[in-house]
Amino acid sequence: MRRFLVLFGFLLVLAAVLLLFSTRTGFQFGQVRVSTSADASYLEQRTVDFLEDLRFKDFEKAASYHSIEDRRTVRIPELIERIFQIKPEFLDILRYEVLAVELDRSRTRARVRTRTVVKLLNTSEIREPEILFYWHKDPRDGWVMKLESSLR
Amino acid sequence: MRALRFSRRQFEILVERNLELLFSDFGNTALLLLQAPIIAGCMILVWRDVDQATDTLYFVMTLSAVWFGAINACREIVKERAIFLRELRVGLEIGSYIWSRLAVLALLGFVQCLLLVVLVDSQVALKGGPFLHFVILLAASLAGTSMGLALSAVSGTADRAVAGVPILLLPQILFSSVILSAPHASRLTRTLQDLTFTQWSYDAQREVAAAEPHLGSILLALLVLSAMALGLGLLAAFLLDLGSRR
Repeated sequence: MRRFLVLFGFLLVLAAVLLLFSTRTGFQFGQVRVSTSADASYLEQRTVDFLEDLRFKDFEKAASYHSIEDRRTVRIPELIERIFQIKPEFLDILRYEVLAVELDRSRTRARVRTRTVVKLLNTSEIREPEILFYWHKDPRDGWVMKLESSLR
Repeated sequence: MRALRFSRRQFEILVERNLELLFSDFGNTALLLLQAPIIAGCMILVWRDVDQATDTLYFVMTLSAVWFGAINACREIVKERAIFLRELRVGLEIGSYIWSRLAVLALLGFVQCLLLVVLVDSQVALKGGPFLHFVILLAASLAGTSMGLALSAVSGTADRAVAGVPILLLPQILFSSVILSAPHASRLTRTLQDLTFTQWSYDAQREVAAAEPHLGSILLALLVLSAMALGLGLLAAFLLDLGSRR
C-alpha cells in the first residue's frame, strides 16, 4: 500500500506542476519562472502585465510598454476602443489568458495571442475577443509593443 | 450482502498485488498508456487547423477519457476469474476486490488523462485552463473504469469483454447533446442523456470554457460523475457476487 500511496503522491505533484504552475512558455512558481525561451517567457509576462494595466485602467503604465517615441503619441483609451470596440468607461475586463507566443526566425519580432473575456457595462453583454499583440525588439528599448496590436 | 463486505487489510494487499501485476505486464501497460499521446496527437492534428478549442474537442476528449477507463478495466476481472473464485472460497471480500481494482485502474486513468490534457493544451489552448478540464476528465474516466469493471464481471471471456466496450460506448455518443441538442430531443432522449457520463462531462467542460463559468454546475457534474462511478462499482460487485454463486 505504501508504494501505491507514494505513486499516487508523485502523480498528484506531477499533475499540480503540469496543470497549475505551467504557463504557455514554461513554468512559474511564484516569482520564479522556468522557461525554454527567455524572450517568449518575458513577452508572455509583459502581455499579461499590459492586460492587467488595462483592466485596472492604469493608462500611464499601459503606455510604458511602447517605444519611447510611441509613448508620447500613444493614447491608450483610443487603443482600447479600437481593440475592444467599446469606450473604456463601458469596459470591464473580467479575465485574460495568453494562448500562444510566437517569435519570428530573427527573434526580433513576436506576436502574442490572447483570449480576453470582457463585459460591456452598458449592455451587460459578454464578449470573448482573441487579441494579437505585436512586439518588436528595439535595440535601445528592448521588447516594445507595436501599436498595430489588433483584434482577431 | 456479500458484495458490500470490505476488509481494509485485504484491500491493501490486493492494491499491492494489482500494482505489481500492472508493472510486471509492461507491454500491456505501455500500450494502454500510449493510447493517450496517440489520441492527443490526432486531436492536435485536427484542431490545430482551426487553431482553437471548440465544443467538439471537449466532447472528443470526454469520450476518450471514458474510453480509457472502460478499455483499461474491461478485462481485469474476467481474466483472473479462476483466481478470484478460489480466493473467494478462502475468505476474499468482494468489496475489497472491486475497490482495489478500481484504485489501481484509477492511477492508470490519472496518467492517461494527464497526458491527454497536457499534450492537447500545449498545442490547442483549452479555454479556462487545463486543471479543471483534467479533473472533469478524470471523473469521466473513473466512471468509465467502473463501467468496464461491471462489464468484466458479467463477461464470459476477455475477448467478449473487449467486444462489449463499443456496445456500451455507443449510447454514450448517441445520447449526447452533440448528436441531438436539447430543443430537438424528446423527454425520453433528454432523460437518457442525463444518464450518460459523456453528457455530464461534456457539459462541465463547456462550463469551464464559458465566458462566465458557473462553479456550481461544474461541481454538480463532478458529483454526478463520482456517484456514477461509485454506483457502477457497486453494480460490478453485485454482478460478481451473483456470478460467483452460480
